[in-house]
This record gives sequence, C-alpha cells and structure tokens, in this order.
Amino acid sequence: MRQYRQLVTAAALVVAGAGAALAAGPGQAVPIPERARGAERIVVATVAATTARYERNDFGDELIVTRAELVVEEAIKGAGGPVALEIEGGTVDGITLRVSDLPTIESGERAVFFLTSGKSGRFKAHLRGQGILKLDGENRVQGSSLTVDEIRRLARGNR
Amino acid sequence: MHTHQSIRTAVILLALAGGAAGLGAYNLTGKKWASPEAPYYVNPANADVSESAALAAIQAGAMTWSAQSNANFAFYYMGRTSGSSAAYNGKNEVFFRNEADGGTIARTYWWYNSRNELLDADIMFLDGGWRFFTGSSGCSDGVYLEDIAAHEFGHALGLSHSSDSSATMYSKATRCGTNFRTLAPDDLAGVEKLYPSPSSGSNSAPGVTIKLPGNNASYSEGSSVAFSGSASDSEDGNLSSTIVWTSSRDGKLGTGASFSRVLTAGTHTITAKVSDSGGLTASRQVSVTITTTPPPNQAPAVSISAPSDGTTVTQGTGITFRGSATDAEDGDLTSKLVWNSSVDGTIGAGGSFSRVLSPGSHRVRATVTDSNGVSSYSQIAVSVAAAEDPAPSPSQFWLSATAVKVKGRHHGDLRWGGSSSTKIDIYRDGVKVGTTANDGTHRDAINLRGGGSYTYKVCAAGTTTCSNAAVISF
Repeated sequence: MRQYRQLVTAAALVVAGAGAALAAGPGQAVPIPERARGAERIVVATVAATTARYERNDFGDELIVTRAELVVEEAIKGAGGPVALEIEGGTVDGITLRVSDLPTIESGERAVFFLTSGKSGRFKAHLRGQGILKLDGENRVQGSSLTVDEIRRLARGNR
Repeated sequence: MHTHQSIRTAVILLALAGGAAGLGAYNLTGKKWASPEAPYYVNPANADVSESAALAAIQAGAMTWSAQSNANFAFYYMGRTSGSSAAYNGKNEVFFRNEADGGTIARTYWWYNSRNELLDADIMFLDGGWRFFTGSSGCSDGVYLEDIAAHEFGHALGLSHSSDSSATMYSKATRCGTNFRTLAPDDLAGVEKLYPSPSSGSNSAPGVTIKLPGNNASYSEGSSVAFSGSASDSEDGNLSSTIVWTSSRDGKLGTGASFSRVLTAGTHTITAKVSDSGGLTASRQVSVTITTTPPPNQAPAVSISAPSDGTTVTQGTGITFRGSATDAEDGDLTSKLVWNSSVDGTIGAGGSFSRVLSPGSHRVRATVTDSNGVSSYSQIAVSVAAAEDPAPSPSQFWLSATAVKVKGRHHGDLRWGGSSSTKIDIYRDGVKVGTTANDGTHRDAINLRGGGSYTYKVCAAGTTTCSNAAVISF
C-alpha cells in the first residue's frame, strides 16, 4: 500500500510537471512542492472578471496585461479573500497578445493559482505558466491525473 | 553570471510525458501570417556567445521551418536591430534578456487581430537563467541556441506546444539537446496544416540562379559588389526582375536581375529568392566575405623633456634625462626608449634616468621602435665642460688650456709655467704637435669644425718632465 502511494505521488509530480509545461517553455517543470515553497499564496479560485490594457513594464516591454479578479474558494497556503491577478496577454481594441509561457485567463475558469506579490498589491503567477493549473470538471488539472487533493497534500507537506 | 536550474526529475518527466508521442499532437494557435513570408530582425548581444555565432544560430533556427517542410511559409532575416523589448510595433524582433524566470529558456510574444492574422511576433531568449551554446558540440549544462530558436520561431509562425515529446514544439527542452533543430513528423504536420503548399498539379516551381557574386568570393571593404542572377518559371516566364536579394548580415539588399551594393565587413550568406504567381518559391545561396584593410602603420612619436636642447654642464655633473614615446598602434612606448650619446654610446633606457657624461659636446638621441619595426627618435645637444684644474703652485710645471674658434675652426690657447727649459714640446691627445719657446703661451691650430674635445700637456723639450693635462671641448 505504501509502495502504491509513493508511485501515485511520483506520477502526480511528473504529470503536474508535464501538464504545467503545456503553458510554459521551453524549459523544465518545477515540482509542485518546490512551486509551493516559492509561492506566497496558493488558492483554488474561479476567475470572476477580467479587464485588459496596455502597460509598459520595467524592461520597456509594451504589453497587453489582463487583470483577473479571482473568487477564492480555498486557501491552500496564505490568506484567503479575493485576489487581483495580473498576467501578460489579453485583448485591447481588437488586438490580442499571447505569450508562449503563459496561459490565457477567461472569466469562469477555475484553477489552482500559485501567487507572488506584484505591483500595487496585485498578484502575479509564481513561475509564470507553472503557477496556474487550470482544473477540469472533476477537480483535476487539465490534461493530467493530478487532483486538487494531491496538490493540497504536496503543498502543505512543504510548508 | 547565470543561475542555472537544477535538472531534478527532468529525465523522468520527459520519459513519462513521452507517452503522448506519436499521437499527432501538434497544437495550432489558430493564428497565422497572412503573407507566406515574415521578416525578422535580430539583436544578437548576449552573455554567452559571440554576436556572429548567435546570429548564425538564430538564423538557422528560423530557417528550420522553411528548409525542412513543404509549408508555404518562410521567415527571412532583415538585419540587426538594437531593440531589446517586446512591443506591438510592426517589427518582428529577436533579442536576449538577462533574466531568469520560472525555468523558461525563451518566450515568444505574438499579436494578432480579430481575423486571427498574426501582426507581430517578438522572441526573447533568457540568458540570465540559461547558458546558450552554438554549434552542435561543446555544450555543458546549457542549451543550444539553434534548437531553442527553432522552437520559438514555431510559436512565431502560429504553433503552440505539442504533447509529442519528439517534436520541436514539445514544451520541455533537454539540456544540450539537439533534437529541436530537426522537425518531427508532428511538427511537419502542424506547419503544413497551417500553411499548406499550393497545389503543384498545375504549377511548377520557379528556378533561380546566381551569376554574381561567385560562391566564396572575397572583396575588400568598401568595394562595390555586383549582384546578378536570373529566374524563370514555366508558367510565369522570366522572373529575373523579381529576384529578392538578402544578406545574412545586412538584410535586404535589393530586388532585380542585377545591381551593385557595398557590403559590411564579414562573411555574408547571400540569398536570391523568387516566387511565382502560384505561391511556389525557389532560392539559391552563396557565401561572400568582405575583408577589412588595416590602416597603414604609424611611426611612433618621441619627445625629450629634459634636459633642454643646448644645455651645458660642468664635468662631473649628473644630468637627468626624461622623455616619452607613444605609438598609434602600440600606445605608450616610453619604457622602450633607448638613449645614446655621440660621445659615450648607450647611456640609458626608459622614460627617466640620471647620468654623468664625459666632457665634450654630446648629441643625445632617444630612440624607440614599435611592434612593426618602425623607429623614431628625438635628439638634443648637451655640452659638458671640463672641470677647471686646481691652481698650480708656482714651483710646479703647470698648464691651462682654453677652447677658441677662429672662423669656426678649433684652436687651443695654452698657458703654462714652472719649467726652466728653453724649449717646450706641445702634446695634443698624446701626440706631439710642435715645439715652441718657453714663453708661457701658445695657440694650437687644430683647424677642425663641429664638436670634439682635446687633451693637452706640455713638456720640457726632449724630456719626460711634463705639466698636468688640460682638456678643451667644442
């Protein structure tokens, strides 16, 4: 039984990496426990609303940035409460920006968010695309067998 | 300084993710370029490899998609850019950024409109977190730029990540892997789905040839290079006037069958490309090298700051010599100065030293030779007067001498005393030059010009009873 559990855990780590990597890259996936250690907050949340606008960052990039209001249903790490997330990409005046190592964010989507503080009290995804694990209707990370329960267990085991 | 990522479970991750291989798993972003060609610019400044090597690797990565597939699409290099930020500015730019972020090696930004037409794409390599290598060997704990470029240009043409672990568009790269530079069947299916090749049933591809410049031709910098070529198509006829010429270094050079152009120094890959009305293309390439001509070697410059020209000192006085030497190619050569006296030979080296010179008139020359063997010198005159002999006592046989010029010719005026001989022999530089009455004075006509010094003594005629020596200098 113990061996089976270890196998499941290893597989979950691996699939989490592979699943997250669909939104990243090219690069190398950071295991869930390590992602959890680096994140200030980990929440299970649903995107309630999004707005997008052009912003100039510290590097001089002129990017469309989407601000997403998240309704938090569970705080796996850190405080609960609403979250304002900013992520590169989005649509302004008919022009859309996509970024290869970030997913898109749309209203109604549900995900596990690994968050770190950004500017002006808004959060950004920790490790960019690897910090947003979108969930399917069965509480699993899309395209993998990793469940929210397993993420919770892996994240809390490393607090 | 790079912050290299831990490899951790990458091998296992890749092995299990490979279970999805072979499923035809390419992902289209749903966006594509409206034109079958997209230009791009490169800022090759980076922390890891030479700019020329980076440029070549990026171009190779971009060319992967048109060279290995039958897709009706190609990126073409337009030249360098100083751009280092992503923006929707109508210019597709590729650049490096000293940033480490989430394990990502590179990322692509792409903008598109509501008709799903790609409008702009920028590629950023993160050399703060990863070390980039070029070529296909020598990589250690890093990645090959060509492979990562191939992946990112895949994004730029409209492909998303594939779940096929053998694909160039797979989301994870292996350290030092060279697999991305070769498109997998999954990549080919994706790009050819996105940009299908025009039907070839009723259209044949055009042909293009390059007459000039010849392959591997070499020209001197500043030379005008003649370009000449021809192109034809079985349906469209002569297409020579539509040949588009580009250089891997200078970007687009011109359009047409022939023209001339001055190229920048370095090795250029010259591409002549033509497209027919059915959308089929053909291209040919030659390599051309523009060599730089080094400027002619400049002679070094020498100056003497001390002592001043014409300085006169008394015998036994130490003289400080100072000088400097510079060279356009070699820089400061002061330490290589060599000092010579016309009287004493080599007297010192370097920028400063002190030395006592022999009595007489010296021409002191400071000489330096640069790395190309070209010498220069500066020269001054220094006179060293003989010290006055102590006043002889009346009972001694004494001599004093004074240098005198008569119409520019050397003479020595002698005075002596202390001898009871009726006749006196005169010796100059050890050679008897005359005998005179012992009247206490004599003018010796040397009759030479220029510089020189002479040593006199007088003796009782026919004896070895002699005075002291006296030196005169001109």
